[in-house]
Amino acid sequence: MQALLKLLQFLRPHWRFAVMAPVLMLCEVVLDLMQPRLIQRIIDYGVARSDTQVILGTASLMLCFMALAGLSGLGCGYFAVRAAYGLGGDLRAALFRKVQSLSFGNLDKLETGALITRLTSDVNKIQEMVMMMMRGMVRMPLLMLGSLVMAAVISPRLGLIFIVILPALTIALIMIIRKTFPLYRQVQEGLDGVNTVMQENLAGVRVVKAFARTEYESRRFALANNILVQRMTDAVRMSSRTTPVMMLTLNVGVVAALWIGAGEVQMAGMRVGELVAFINYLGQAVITLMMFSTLTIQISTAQASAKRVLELLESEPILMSPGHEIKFASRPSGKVVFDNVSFNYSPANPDLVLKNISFEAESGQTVAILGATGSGKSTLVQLIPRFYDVCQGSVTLDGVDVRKIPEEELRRHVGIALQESILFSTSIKNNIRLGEPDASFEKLSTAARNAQADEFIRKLPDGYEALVGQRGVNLSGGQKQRLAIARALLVQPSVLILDDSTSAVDVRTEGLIQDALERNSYRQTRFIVAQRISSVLHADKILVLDNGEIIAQGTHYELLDACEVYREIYDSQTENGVLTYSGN
Amino acid sequence: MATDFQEKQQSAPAPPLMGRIGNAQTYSEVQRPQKTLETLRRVWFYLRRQKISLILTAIMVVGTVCLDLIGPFLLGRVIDGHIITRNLSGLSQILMLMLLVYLSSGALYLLQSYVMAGAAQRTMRDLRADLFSRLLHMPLNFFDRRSHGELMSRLTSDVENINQVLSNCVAQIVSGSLSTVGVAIAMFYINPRLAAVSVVTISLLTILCNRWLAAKTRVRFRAQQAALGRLYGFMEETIGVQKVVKAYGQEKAFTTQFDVVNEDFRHAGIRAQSYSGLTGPMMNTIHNTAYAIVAGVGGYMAVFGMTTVGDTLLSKKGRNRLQPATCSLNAYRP
Repeated sequence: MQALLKLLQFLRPHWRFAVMAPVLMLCEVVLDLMQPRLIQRIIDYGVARSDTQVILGTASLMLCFMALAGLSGLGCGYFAVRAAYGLGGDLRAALFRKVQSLSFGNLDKLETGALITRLTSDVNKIQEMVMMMMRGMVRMPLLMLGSLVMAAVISPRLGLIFIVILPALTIALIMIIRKTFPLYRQVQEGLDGVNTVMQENLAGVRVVKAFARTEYESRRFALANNILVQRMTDAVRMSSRTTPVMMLTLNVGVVAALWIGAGEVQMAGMRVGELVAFINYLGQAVITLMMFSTLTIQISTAQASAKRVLELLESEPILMSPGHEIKFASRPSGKVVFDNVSFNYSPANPDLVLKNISFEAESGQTVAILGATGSGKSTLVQLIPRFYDVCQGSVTLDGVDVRKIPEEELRRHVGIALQESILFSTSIKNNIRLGEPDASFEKLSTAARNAQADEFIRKLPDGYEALVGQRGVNLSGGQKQRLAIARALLVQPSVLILDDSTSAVDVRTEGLIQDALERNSYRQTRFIVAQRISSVLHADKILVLDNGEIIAQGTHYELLDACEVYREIYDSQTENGVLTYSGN
Repeated sequence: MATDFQEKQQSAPAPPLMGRIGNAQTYSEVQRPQKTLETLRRVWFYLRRQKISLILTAIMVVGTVCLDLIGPFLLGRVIDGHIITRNLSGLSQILMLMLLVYLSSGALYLLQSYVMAGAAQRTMRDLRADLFSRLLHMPLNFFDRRSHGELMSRLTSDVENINQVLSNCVAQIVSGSLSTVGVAIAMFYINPRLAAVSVVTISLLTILCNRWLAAKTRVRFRAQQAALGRLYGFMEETIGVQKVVKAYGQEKAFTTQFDVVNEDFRHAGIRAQSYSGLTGPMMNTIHNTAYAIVAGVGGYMAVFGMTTVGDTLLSKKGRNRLQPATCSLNAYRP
């Protein structure tokens, strides 16, 4: 409940609606409560005394009341929607802003799928819940209390039935709910099991097909499916006990009312209409209690959503921008220095991903980083645009510690083409212009030309306007990588990082990209992460990384002489002294 | 059976089973009216494998409906025959009979939902298994054209929607329609004129309101769904590649775009929801209006000896039974 209540602060800007809804609901409840009394009037004063005037008058009065109650209900519904959707929208906006402010370390921990769920279905659940609470939380207790009072007014003796029936039903409902809850938790686990198998098969559908694992996977799925079905059946069976239990309680109450009431009518002069009204109030109270219990269950499921949303809202970005922020007066020259850098993704883990890394990249140099998978190549370059902060030592750009440069400023000068080439489902043009949305077409096509992408883009049906993504053109891995490179080139950064971003591009095209980069009109320090030796041959400096440490650095020829690991890599990728394509 | 189904499916360009059935989890009302019957028709293919359970359920439904009719009937007798006439002899017997009827009705209901839950879940199992094996046999380009998220949402939330329909609606629709017919017959048997008043008021009001509301709601819901699609699409794309957004310092630009889509959705949502929110209060009003009319007419008739208080009460009870049944049936009408 606490998490949900905390989120209710988002109602504040919509307080008018949030107040109006319950007030109107109050009106509706009062009018609803009048109904059985009016029926009683018809029976006792109309029918019993054969007074048609009273019957018609009371019936018309009832119609008026009903119309009013209907209007109040409509109003309440409208205001509840306004308030709940207001809250939902604001909450989503707050969460989105929070995600934008998070750093890579947070994002790694929160994982994309879970993040999206929080902004979509979790917020939705909360929104629906607020809407229901605004109606139900007022209506139900009031209706219940009102029925009780009205019934007691009619006959205190009969009212005793309430005192027996309502607690008995409450206890019965609580017992059922208590048993149902763990069952539904198990259902959730079963559902997760089924989803996991599905997700894995979707992601790895090629592997499953290629290795003819279909039958095995089907059996695995059947197992998860059976577990889910068993748990689901148990849960549904348990929770469907509520309806008969409630009906039975209500009916026992009615029989009791008739039994006692018959005596009351005979001995104490109770009117028949009063007895009928009493039975109506009893029914209302029991049904309301039942609805109330459903609402409670729903609130507690929304509680889980509220907790997840709150967790995200309250998470702090791991990178905090420092107090004195430095801006470069002019374009930095691009000198990058790593001074005894050690790094680890999580502080709790004693195994360092990078150990004592020290090197200098002079302005305009091309630095290549070579090493086996998992040696820390990508991690190293990601420290330059400060995706993560170093644990020890420092990374400087033009002599300024990157931790002292505001993220936005730093990233304007450091362009990176990530390992995975990610495209947005918009036009090719907008994908390339991501870092500078109003770049001129000339700038755009130059970047594309240098990335060797211009040619294939022009061959597409809509050229630069062609849409990419699910509903757009199908691009090959190499083409996507070239778009990602063009995107990084467009902003003309002082430091360009190509993080293994030519792996799917053939060697000839890769050479053309490198030539184009050499001919650049502006000064740029380049970092090239590669697994292919052909990608690094012409670099000014090659860092050989092994297990998070630099084991050698120098030019191609220096390393061929001095570094055995480098020679081994070179030999494995050449045949008879000729470079092959199989570097990957 | 399964193979027959698969062949049918493969000939179609877009497999109908995989077609979105509506995102009931988040927007329960959205596509329900149009799609529920259609969903049921498709699910029937799987459901009919559970023959024994279905037959058992049907028998028990008939039983509960009958018992549910006897209860109010006895109530009417008690009021007219014992309480109004102040005649306590035989009252305890009739009350015991009532208790017995209610008890067996409850027990039967319990048993019925027990059997039905098993059948529904076994049906879901078959459906899921078929879906999965079909998925594994889809050509690879099927996966290229769709994102994992889209497929997962079909496989999970859409299947869950079918589950909801199956678990909640099937027995309800059957018992709802049966008891409506039963109640109507009983009411006409007891007092044709009062019954006519009840039936006419309720059907007329319900149909009128539904016509009006359904037309208004449908357009707005479509708009809401479209806005929701844009919002979710935007969020999934942006948050999915948050690192690229950050690497290029585009946080502010994307936030601005987000605000536009978010506002759009909020407006569309309020428009749609305030109309669908009308359904509850409106049904309530219909219910209550009919209540008032039956009370008025019944009272009037009672004065002229055309009915009794107990019968009027029974009509009211019967009308109460009619109400939910017509409501749910209406919700499923295309």
